[in-house]
Amino acid sequence: MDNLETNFYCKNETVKVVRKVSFDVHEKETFGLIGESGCGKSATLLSILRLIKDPGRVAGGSVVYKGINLLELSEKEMNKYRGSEIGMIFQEPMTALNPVLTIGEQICDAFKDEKLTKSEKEEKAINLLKIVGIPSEKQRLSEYPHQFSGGMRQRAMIASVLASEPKMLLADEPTTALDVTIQDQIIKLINNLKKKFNMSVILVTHDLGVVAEMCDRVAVMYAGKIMEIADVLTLFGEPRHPYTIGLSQSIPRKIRSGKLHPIEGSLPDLANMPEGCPFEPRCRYKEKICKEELPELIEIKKGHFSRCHFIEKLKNEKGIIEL
Amino acid sequence: MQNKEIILKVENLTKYFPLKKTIFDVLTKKPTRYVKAVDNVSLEIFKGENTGLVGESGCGKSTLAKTIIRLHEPTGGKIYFGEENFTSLDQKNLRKRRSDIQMIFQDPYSSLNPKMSVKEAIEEAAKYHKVCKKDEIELKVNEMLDMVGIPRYLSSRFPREFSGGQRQRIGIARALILNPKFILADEPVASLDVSVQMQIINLLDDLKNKLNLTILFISHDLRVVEYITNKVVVMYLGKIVEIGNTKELFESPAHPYTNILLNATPVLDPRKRATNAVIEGETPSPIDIPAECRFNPRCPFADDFCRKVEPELKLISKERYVACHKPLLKSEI
Repeated sequence: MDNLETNFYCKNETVKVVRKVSFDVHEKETFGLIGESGCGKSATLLSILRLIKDPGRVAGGSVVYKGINLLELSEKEMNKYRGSEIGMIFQEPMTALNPVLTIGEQICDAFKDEKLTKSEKEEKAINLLKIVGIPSEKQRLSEYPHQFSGGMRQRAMIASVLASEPKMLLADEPTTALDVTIQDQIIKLINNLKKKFNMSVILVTHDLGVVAEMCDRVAVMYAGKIMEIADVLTLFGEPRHPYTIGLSQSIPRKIRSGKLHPIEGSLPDLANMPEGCPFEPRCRYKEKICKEELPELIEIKKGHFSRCHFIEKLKNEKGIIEL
Repeated sequence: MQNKEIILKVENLTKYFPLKKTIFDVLTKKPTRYVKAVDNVSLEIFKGENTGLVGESGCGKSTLAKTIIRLHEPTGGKIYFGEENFTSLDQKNLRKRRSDIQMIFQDPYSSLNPKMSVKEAIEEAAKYHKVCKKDEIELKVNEMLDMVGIPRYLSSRFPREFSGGQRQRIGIARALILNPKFILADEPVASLDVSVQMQIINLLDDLKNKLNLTILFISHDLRVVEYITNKVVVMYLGKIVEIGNTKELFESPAHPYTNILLNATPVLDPRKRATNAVIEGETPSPIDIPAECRFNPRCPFADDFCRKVEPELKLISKERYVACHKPLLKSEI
C-alpha cells in the first residue's frame, strides 16, 4: 500500500480520513492497525477491498496486491479478488451475515468451484464448521444467524470467509463485541487458522491486549496518519512516539502502582486538521515546531519508524512490557 | 475490620423475569418459566470502599445494580441502605431517598436527553430533589462543571455537541449534584476510547476521595477493576461465585471461574502468547439453570459431587468467600 488517501465528501467540507498511509504486509504475517475511533483504521481496511461507500472515495495512492494495483481494476475484475483472494471479517457478525439465509446456504454460496454438487458442498461446509469449532455441525448448518450466539456467529462468519480459501484475511475488530472468554477463543482460532491455511492477516483493533496476542508487526494510526510502525516486541518494549507511549500508559496495571498518566484532551476534528503534527494539542513533549510542521516518518532502526520531531527525547521512555 | 461501616447490605436478593407464555403453554397449563437474572444474592458494601462487580455479559451484574436502586422491583430479598430498609419504601419515599444512591450509565449517548442543554440536564435533578435554594442552583451547577472538568461556557450547549468522554463527565456531574453517598457505575467507560477511559477512571477516583463516596463499579474489563477497586465480587449466571480483596483475588483466585476469567484477559506481553484457549464452550442460558453447581458443565475440575450438590457461598479465609466444593485456594478456616 502506498500513499493511500481516502476522503469523505460531505456537503460543505471534505473529511480526510486516511491521509497518505503507506505500509507493506508480508506473506504469512499478522499486521496490526491500531488506533482510536475515527483514526481511519477501518477506512484503510475498507479501501483495500474498495468497499468505501458514498460519499467516501479513495482519492489517491495505490494498493498493490501481488503486483497488481487493486485501485486500477474494473469492478468486475475487482470482484475476483474480493472474498476469493482477500476475505474480510467484521466486528458485528449479525450485520455481516444475511439474516434470511441459513448458515449452510451462506457458506455454500462462497465456494469457488461451481462444479460441486449440493451434497459435496454441504459436506465441505460441515467440515468448515468443524474447523472453526462449532459443535453439532450438521444441525447448525440449517439454522439461521439469529439462532447463534455472538461467539458462534463470529465463528460462522469466519467459516464462510474460509470457504473461498482467501490468501489474505482482513479482520475489523473481530473480538470487540465479545466477552473475554469468547474473545480468547476467537483470538486463538484466528491464530491457528492463519497457520493452517498459510494466510496473512491485517487486524484492525483498539485493544493493545489483542495486538499482543496476535500481531507480528504493528502500525499505530492517529487522525488518518501512521505515527509509528514496528514489530510487536519493539512497539511494546521501546515505543518511540508520544502517542504510543501515552496509549501504553493508559492501560491500567496492577493495583495502585502509581497514578496513571492518560493522554489529556480528546481526538481532533478530522474536518479541520491543523497544519503541523495532528497529535500536537495532546502531546506532552510538544515544542514550537510541532505546530508548524508535520514530521516525517523516520526510520530509527531497521523496520522501526516513528513520526515525531523529538525521537531522541523519547529514548528512555518505557514500553508496556516494562511498565 | 469490625469498625468498618456497612453502607449497603443486600440479603438474598432475587430478580426473576417471567417468560412470555405461548397460547400452547396456557392451554396445556405449563408453569411459567423464568429468567433467573439475579438468584439469591447477598452482599455487604462498606463505606468508602470501591467494590468491583465482574462477570460475563448476561450474568446479571446490571440487573443486580438496577434492582438495588429499585429500577427493577426485586422478586424477593431485602436491601438495606445504612439502617434503612430500602425494599419497604413506597414509591414516593423511594424517589426522595434515591438522591443518596445515584447511577452512572454505560452509554453517555443515550442517558442524556438530547433536547436538554447541559445546564438543564444537570439542574433538573437538583430542582426535583430541592438540593439547594433556587437562586443558588446556577452556582451549584457551575461548581459541578468545574469538578468534572467541563468548561463553564459550554453549559448552554446540547449533548450532541460533546464527545463521548465529555458526555460521561456530564453524566457524572448530574449524578453528583445530589450529594449522593453511593454511586452505582454501570460500565462507565466501556463505550469510550482507550485514551479517554483512563481520564474518566481517574476522575471518578479523585471524586471518590474528595466527596467521600462509595462506588460499586460494574465492569467486564478486569484490568480496570484491578486498578480502581479494593474489593471484587464475581458473578456467574445470577449468583455470586467469589468475593475477595482485589489484590489477593487477582493473585490467587479461589473459584475456577475467576481463574478462567483472569487467564482469558489478553496478556500485554507478546512473548507470553498461548496457542490454546483457556476455556471452550459458552455461558449457558439463564432460563434452565441446573440445580447443581451452575458452573459444572464448563469447569475443568468438576466431579460427580459437583453435578449433584450446589455449593454455598462460604468464608474460606479472611474476607474471602467462595461458592465451590473444590476451591483452588486451600481453606484456612
